[in-house]
Amino acid sequence: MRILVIEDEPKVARALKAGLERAGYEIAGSATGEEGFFLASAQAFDLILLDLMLPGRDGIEVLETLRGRGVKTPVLILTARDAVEDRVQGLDSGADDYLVKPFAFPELLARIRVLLRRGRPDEALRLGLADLDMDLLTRRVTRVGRALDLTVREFALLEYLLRHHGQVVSREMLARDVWKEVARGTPLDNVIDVNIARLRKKVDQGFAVKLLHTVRGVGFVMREAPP
Amino acid sequence: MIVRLGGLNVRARLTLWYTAALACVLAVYAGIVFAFLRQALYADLDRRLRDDIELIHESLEATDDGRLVWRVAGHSGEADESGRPGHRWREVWSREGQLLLRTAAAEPLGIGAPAGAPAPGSEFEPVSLQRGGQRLRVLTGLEEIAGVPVLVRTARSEEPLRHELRELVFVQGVGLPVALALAAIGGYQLARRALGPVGRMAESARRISAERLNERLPVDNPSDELGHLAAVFNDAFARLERSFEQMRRFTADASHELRTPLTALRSVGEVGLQERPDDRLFADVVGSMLEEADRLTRLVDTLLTLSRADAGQLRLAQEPVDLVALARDVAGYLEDLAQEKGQRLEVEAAERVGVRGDWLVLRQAVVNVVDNAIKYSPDGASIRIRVGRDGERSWIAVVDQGPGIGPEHRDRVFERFYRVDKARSRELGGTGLSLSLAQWAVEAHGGCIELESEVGRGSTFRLGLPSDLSPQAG
Repeated sequence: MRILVIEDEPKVARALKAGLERAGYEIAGSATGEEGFFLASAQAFDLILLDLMLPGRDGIEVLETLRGRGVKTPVLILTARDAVEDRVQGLDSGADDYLVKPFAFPELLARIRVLLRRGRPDEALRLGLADLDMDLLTRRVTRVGRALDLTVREFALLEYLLRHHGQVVSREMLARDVWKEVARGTPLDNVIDVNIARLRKKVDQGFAVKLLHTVRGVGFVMREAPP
Repeated sequence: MIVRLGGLNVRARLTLWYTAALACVLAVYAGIVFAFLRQALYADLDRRLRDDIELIHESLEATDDGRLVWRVAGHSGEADESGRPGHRWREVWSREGQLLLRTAAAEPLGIGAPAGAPAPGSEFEPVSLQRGGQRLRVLTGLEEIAGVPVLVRTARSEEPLRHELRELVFVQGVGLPVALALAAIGGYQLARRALGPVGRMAESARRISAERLNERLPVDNPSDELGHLAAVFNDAFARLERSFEQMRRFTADASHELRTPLTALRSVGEVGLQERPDDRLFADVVGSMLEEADRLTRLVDTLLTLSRADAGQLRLAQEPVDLVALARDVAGYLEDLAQEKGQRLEVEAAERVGVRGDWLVLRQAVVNVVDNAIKYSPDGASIRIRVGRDGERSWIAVVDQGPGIGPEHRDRVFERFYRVDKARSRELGGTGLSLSLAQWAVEAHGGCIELESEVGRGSTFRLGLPSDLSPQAG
């Protein structure tokens, strides 16, 4: 999978490159709109990460020209501007998704995965990790055959974590995807923490192998080995 | 100081206007005086002419052959009252239009034959005639002298009358402009004196800048218009000063609040590098730094929201919102937090309470207030969210069992970054902005947020909103 990163801030660009390469993607970088545009029209990429505020050529302009030339590569916009008008403008210009800086890296990875597998349904009806088993049809969750009694919220939370198992899930992702909260800056973090604590109690208490881990400062992850 | 208006200053314009007004009044006055005097003089002249006609009987007598002659020889050249001869013009005409007698004064020019005859004993209306460079006033009467009906014409010069009128015109023509000029000068001075305080006020206002907002305009006389104006200005300055002060405090507070996580970020990083970190410590240091970055992000997001709200950039939806549903939604959302502290979160509401507004914004306000209540109420307390309506006003009241808020803090808890208990609040992770946001949200919907509190017994935050009175609101 090849990703083109058009980002002028060197630190951010470096971090993006390193993080994405670690996640197994092949990265081409560009620091200006012109170069980015040239690369995007000359080579084939699976995804383009586009910063909106670029020297030389504005991100929106690059995007519009690309779309005008029939380049259909999915584009994920990264920008510090979060006003509704900015988002609408970005999406209207042909972007597929929009992420406001500063963003949590796990969320970026999750969005990239969504864009890359677009159109390919992977809605499994049965999820599991190690000896934890989750049946989405009967809504039954068991660990080593023992049923766990989860609330509706905890069930949704576990489902989301299992769908992203092995990947760190940030609080922002949980807020948006599990709690369906649109606004940032609500006291939701506490609510998430409380629910995670309860879920952890039900899933992990009394078992030697812990499955739900907290990655300090980033979020949570479901996996067998500690991070 | 000169207030420029239409190219002229106010003083000059005022003076011009009332000088013009005065000129009009004086012109009318002068015209009326002239007309009255003229009429009075003519009336007097006419009365004398009538006397002259009556006196003709004394002057004439009939000879034996029926001719009329002056009774006194040489009477025809008699002197008039002024002693000057020849001023009294008299003519006696027969009814057939034949001149019978004529005084010496009338000799050279003659009054002329009367046109038509009046009824016996009556008189013609007096008329003015031009004779040889002078104007005469002529009265014609039908008299019967020694049994002979004759027309008596008598005339007097209008010159003395006209002289008097000319004098009047002269006096007015000279006097009125002088009076006008005096009035204009006086008026100008008066306007200058009256507008003087305006100049001083402008001078003072110029001196009052952002740095010296504590100064005020001098109020010479609080009960007159200018004093009132100065008071209004002073009021505006006071409000400006308050908002400047608020802004200054906000900037100072905001930089302090931003500096706190930055300091933590920096020192955690520096200390982490000083040690020889193993993987575990490293992860801990980075994690701790990320937490601070999160805090910064949240703070900046909230500040951005508030500044957009201040700038009026946030557009609010106008949808029907049921406050009961909203309260239940918020309660469901924050229930986990309350449970964690063993608190009971109860919604007390009967039927639907409809308002119009933006669900998300209102929800955020209620979430902030309820979250606050959960934070500050002790474990095991109960928090009630009451919803009700008093006619045009609908409200959500959040009743907590927290420590209460002292009267000295009551007005200020809605200020940005204001915290009743600074240490405690930071420990609980508050930004110090949630109540400000709640207040903004409620006020943006035309409502108001009120706080009742008793130290030691808890607080009640009451979010009042205008009811939705449209029929489908139910």
